[in-house]
Formats: sequence, C-alpha cells, structure tokens
Amino acid sequence: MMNELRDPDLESLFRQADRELDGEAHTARVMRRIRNLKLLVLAGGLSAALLLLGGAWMIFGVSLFEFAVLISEALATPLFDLGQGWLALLLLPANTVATLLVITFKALRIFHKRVAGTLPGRP
Amino acid sequence: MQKAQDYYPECPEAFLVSLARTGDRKAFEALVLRRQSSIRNLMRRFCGDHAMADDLAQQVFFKVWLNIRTLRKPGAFSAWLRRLAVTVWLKHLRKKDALRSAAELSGMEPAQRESAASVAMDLDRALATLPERERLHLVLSYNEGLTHGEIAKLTGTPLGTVKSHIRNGSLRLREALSAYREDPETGQ
Repeated sequence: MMNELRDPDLESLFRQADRELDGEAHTARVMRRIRNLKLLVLAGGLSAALLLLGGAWMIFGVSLFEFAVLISEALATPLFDLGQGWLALLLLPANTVATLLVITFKALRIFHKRVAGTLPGRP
Repeated sequence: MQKAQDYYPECPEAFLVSLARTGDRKAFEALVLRRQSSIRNLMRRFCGDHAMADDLAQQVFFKVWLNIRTLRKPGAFSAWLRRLAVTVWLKHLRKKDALRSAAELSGMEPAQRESAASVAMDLDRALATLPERERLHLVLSYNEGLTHGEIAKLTGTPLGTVKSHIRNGSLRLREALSAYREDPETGQ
C-alpha cells in the first residue's frame, strides 16, 4: 500500500513542524465567543418572548380579560340562596362554587392516598 | 479548598468530553486547551496563514461546542474533532480561494532553519504551492497519519484520486523542500 510508503524526510519535517503552541490566549478567545453566543441567544430569546407576549396581548388580551372576569364570577356564585341577612354574609366565603371545587379536590386527594398509598404526582 | 474543576487538566479526555456534553464549560475549556495546538497546527498546514489558521481553529472549537451533544461516544472525540476541522476547512475553501497564489510563493528561499518555527513556516509555504485538494490529502496523510482509505472517506474523494494526490504531492513537496535534504546539518 502507498500509505506505508510515506516519504521519511517529509514525515520528519511534518513532525518537526508540529510544535506545541501556547494555548491560553486562543482558548480564552474561544470561550469568549461561546459566552457571546450565550448572551446573544439569551437576548434573542428575551426579545422573541416579549414580541410574542405583546402580539398575544394585542390579539387575545381583551377576550382573555373578559374570560377571567367570567370565570371569577362563576366561581363566586353562591351554592345556596341564603338571602341578604347576616348568616348569608358570614357563610359567603364558604358558600361558593370555588369552595365546592376545593373541597372536592381535597377529598379526591385523600381518597387517592387511602387507596393507592401515595398522593398523585408524588413518588 | 480545591474545586472539581481544578482537576480537569489531569482528567482523561473521554471524561472531559462527557462533562462538556452536559454543558460544563470548564470541562470544555480544558478540552480546548488540550487540543488547540494540534488543531491550529493542522489548520496551519492546510492554509499556511497563521492568523487565518487560528481563526479557523476557533471556528472548529465553536462548532464542537454547538454539536458536542450529538457525539455519542466520548472516546471517538479525536476523530470527530478532526472531521469537524476538515469540514470547516473545506467549507472555507468553498467560500473563497483561501490560498495565496502559488506563483507568489514559489521561488521563496527556505527561511532560517534554526528552529521548529521556521521549519513549520517553510513547510507551510511549500504546502501552499500545492493545489488545495492535493494539499488537504497530503496533510491528512503526513500530519494526521491517516490511511488513504480514511482520507477518501473523510473528504469524500475517490481512493484512486487520494493516492495520486499524495504521490504527486509528496514529489512536489520534496522538490520544494529539497534544501532540507541537501543540508547535512539538518540531518534530513
């Protein structure tokens, strides 16, 4: 094979030319470039996120706000009509759809813990 | 108290590669420090211009950082790094003629031969007179010790072409560097 027939003089010259180069400055330049890339990616990501948020707010902002109002009104709806008296005022925080949802969620977690031995989402 | 990073210079390369794959920049820095000399020397042989070679070597390491997660076997880092270096060089060649004109360089007298630096300079000058592909194949053979088959695979060139490039390139390089052979003091 030709490969085994490398010119020994040339081989020797290549070996001589292959000297150890000081690498501190070169390595520092490479690392600086990598840091700059990281900053660039970060700045780009932040700009893109801001643009996306701004665009989303322009498109969905108003309807999102209306949706939030609707949800909060639905959650605050009283479960039982207790009239306008002091009892109604006293029980107002507990007498809502939101309270019912929280109690149901808690009960389901406790039930799951009893049956499966663990809480959902925990090892 | 010493940090784990303080031991990086003594760590095996495969370990540093594994750490760099997880995004450890200190490990990557240690890798660059360890490998920069060979890659810069390789690029110097390819292009003959030290400043350009250093810039290209930086590009190589930058690519390494961007792609190191795709390297499955840390033990294959050396070959992978060489492949990236060749890719960067070929891409550079495609962009523009990286060579100084051969006519400009031919006829130059060998520099003073007291140091390895001047040997490198003469070698780079002589290499620069060769056609791009011929030089690439010759450097991969002599500088990197690759077989013809490996060079053909790495550069995507037919095996016969690689062989003839190395044969012709060796002859031309010998001629260009004949002063080294004729000078008994150099021992060449």
